[in-house]
Amino acid sequence: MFQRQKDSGNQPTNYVPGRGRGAVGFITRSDIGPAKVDIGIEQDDDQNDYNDAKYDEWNGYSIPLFNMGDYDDEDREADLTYNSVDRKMEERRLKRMPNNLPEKPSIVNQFSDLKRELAKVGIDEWLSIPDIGDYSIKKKKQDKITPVPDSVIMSAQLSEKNLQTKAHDLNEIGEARGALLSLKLDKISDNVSGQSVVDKRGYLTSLASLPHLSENEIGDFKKARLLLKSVIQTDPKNSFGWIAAARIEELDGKLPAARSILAQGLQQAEDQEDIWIELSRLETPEKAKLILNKAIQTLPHSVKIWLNAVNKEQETQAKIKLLKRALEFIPNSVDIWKELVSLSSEQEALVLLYKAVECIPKNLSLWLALAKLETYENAKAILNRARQNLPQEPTIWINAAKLEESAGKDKQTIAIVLSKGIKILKKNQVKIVKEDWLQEAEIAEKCSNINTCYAIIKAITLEEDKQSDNSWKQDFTQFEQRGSLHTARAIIAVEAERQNNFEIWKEYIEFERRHKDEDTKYFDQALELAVSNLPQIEQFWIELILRKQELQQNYLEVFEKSPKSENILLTLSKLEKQQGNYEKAYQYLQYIQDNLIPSDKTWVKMFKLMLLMNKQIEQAEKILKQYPQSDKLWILCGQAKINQKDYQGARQIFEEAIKTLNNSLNVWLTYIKMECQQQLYTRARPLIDRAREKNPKSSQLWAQAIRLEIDAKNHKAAQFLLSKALQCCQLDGELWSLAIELEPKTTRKKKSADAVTLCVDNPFVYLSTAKVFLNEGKIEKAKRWLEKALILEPRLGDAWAYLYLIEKEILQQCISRRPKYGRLWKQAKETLNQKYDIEKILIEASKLAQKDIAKLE
Amino acid sequence: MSYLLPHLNNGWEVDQAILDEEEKLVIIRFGHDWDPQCMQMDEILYKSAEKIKKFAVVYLVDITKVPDFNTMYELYDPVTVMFFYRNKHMMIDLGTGNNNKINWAMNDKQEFIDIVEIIYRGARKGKGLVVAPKDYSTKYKY
Repeated sequence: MFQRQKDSGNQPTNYVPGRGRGAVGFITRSDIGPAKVDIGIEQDDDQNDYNDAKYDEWNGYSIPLFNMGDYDDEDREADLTYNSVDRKMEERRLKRMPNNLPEKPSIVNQFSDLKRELAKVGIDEWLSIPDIGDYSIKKKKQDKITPVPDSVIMSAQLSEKNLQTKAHDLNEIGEARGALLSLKLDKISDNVSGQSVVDKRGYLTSLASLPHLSENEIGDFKKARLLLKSVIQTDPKNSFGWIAAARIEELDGKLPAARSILAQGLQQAEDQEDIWIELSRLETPEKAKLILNKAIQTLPHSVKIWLNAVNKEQETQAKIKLLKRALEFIPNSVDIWKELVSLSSEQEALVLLYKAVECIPKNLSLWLALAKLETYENAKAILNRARQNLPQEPTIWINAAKLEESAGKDKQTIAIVLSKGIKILKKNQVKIVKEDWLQEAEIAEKCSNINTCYAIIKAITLEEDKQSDNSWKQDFTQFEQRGSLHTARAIIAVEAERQNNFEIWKEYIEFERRHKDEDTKYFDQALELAVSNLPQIEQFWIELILRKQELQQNYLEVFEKSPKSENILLTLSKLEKQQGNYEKAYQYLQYIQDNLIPSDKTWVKMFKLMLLMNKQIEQAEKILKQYPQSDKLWILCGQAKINQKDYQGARQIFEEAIKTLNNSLNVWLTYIKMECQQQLYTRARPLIDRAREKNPKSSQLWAQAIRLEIDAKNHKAAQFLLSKALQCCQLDGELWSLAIELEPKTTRKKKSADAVTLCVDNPFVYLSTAKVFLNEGKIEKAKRWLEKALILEPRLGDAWAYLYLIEKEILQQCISRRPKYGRLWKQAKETLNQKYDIEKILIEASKLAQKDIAKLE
Repeated sequence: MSYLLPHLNNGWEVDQAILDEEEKLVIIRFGHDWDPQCMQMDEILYKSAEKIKKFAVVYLVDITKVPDFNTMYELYDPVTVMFFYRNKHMMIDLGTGNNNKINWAMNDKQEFIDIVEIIYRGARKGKGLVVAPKDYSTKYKY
């Protein structure tokens, strides 16, 4: 491709390239090669440095003086000679050096001479060489001592218990303690008995507990025996020493020894009942009886011994016999009487109790037991007698109240009895503490003496100062939390009657409503009481009417009694309407119109009813003028016109409504819906725009607009509106559910997942997700989503409709929940012109739902 | 691509090539045709030769066959590119510290052309040293 154009002949001989054209080289980096350039300039032959510093007197200049001549044979010979001389000299030098050492002598070599000496060392000397020991830091770290965990010590102890190694240690400790004790004890024994400073009883109990401490202290028995011996010596009349000594023997397994100790004790201290009982405990049953017999002979007035003897007997008859004998000696022992009464039959018991009461008139329990066994009349008399004997005992009065209740007296009379009782108690200087009485009331409730409970609270409340207003509330909540419902009820009922104001009655009713599940009777009672005490409050009347309706009782009686107020009448008319008795409902409303001054609420109800009954609304305009601010009235009027197919009229009404109400979303929505239903989309669109201008944030309007486009089969516009709407209201469930439905089938699931994560717990989103699954035929999944939606909003009619498609059994459940919301639900209601027949609406809505799912395809 | 560019086979030819050129820049690559780095550089040279033919000529010299300049010009690198204009060795400041030559294989044709152009402009103005448009100090290590 490229060729040299000129060729200036051949290379001349002796031509030096580069230099031939006058080029000069350069030296940049002397390290990479000889960059010396022979530039061919003649130099001085003698370039040597004849500096004085390099002059040596012997050698002269260090520079060879004769190196300019040629290197000839003579020179070579001379060099060889010199070299040979040098070699010889080197050899000689090496010989003189001691046994030619290696360049790097190893440690073995260095110490080889010393090692040779080691051969002379004897075995003893070897052994006596001390260890050097390891002082390195590393070793030290490893030797760190960590404490042994307690668990290890414990387990070691347990395993070695038999080996006595630990026990030995503990023995030593025990001995030390024993030594200390004996020292003290000796001091005491030196003193005159009775003057000792040490508390003997406490000391003994501590001793008694000693052997129980652990098995390891078995070795202490000896010591303990010694100690107890000294105790007994100091005070032989005291039963504790004897018993403790016997116990130690028993613990050591030496029963005969224990018995003999006790026998000795009896010789010393015959009058100690404890020793007798202890002995009988240690003996066999037969011997025990004998011993106790002896004991009874020596100590006939000891209740303990008698009771022990009774316990030792096997047969009931023998026991009774023994007890009766005991009573001969000790007639005033409550324990023996009680024992006897509990053993004998009812008839005998009655007789016995009469006697017992005579013997011990001051004992309450006997009186009460007697009263319980007697008939009503006699019991009353007995309680009166008891009262005379024990004038300061409030329990008698409460028992009297219980008695009255068991006789079937109502709570008012019981309350009177109790308040009388309280007065008498007060006279007898008994302090009336409210808390105690409330406690009594609670106990009475637990014994299911409900009337008594009420009576106690009534009596105590009446007794109280009227001023203390709020203390009852505390008691009330306290008892309610504790689950003592009757007590709580009694408190609030008494309080409600006493104060008789709206709040307290309301609270009472709320309380009953809370506990309606347990007993509905009280709820009804509360309502009746409230109505009778405060007849002017219509709320209670309404409650009562609703309750009667719930129980399917005749509520007309209630109505007759109630003040004929508007709210009550409205409630009644609503009830009638729910049962489908439109005529009756209408009559009630008419009644309001005729007799009272109807509010807009009544008119709304009236219009609704008329729409349901397909009646003409005549006075519409007049009423609208009367209540221009009620959007419901406007909407109803419009609806009426729509029903008559007078769309022009409806439009006029809506326009007017918008003008007068300024901005009512409901009116807008109804208006738009009307146009949509007639498929006049060109009319509806500007309406939506106008409405949105005033309510830019309303998701309902957006949803309506999107639905309109869907209905108009204008999918692109719907998508566009949807994206705008979602920008405006990001977290609206309804819009998201629309978004899911508008999504093409392939990406629909992803969209629904997005929606579920964005709008957490929104029933509409769940509903749409369920719809997606239904469309795919995944019925189980759809059902789960629908149930989720219904948990969030049990009154969502659409969800019920879809669920009805899957399962027909949910009908009853649906009716009980009374669904209300949902687009399809409302549509179904409107097409049926039905409001309360849930079954029909549900079926209709499910038909619509079927269509809706089909639309999704 | 070395076979497409003219080779100079002895010192005489090299000298003559430098001397004969009156108007153009003479670019000489010293190296071996078989050396991979040389190959890379030759590729660049060949590609740019056509473009710069109006103001520069390119020759290749084998430093084993023609060892005459090795000492003079310190030709110890695998590839060396030198510039001459009217028998003057043109120096160029590449930022590498060695202003005498390019002693690495370049990888961008346009960069090379730019360098050649700058040298030519400097040479026309009578300058002996020009500054390269780009600094190569960090890119090529020595």
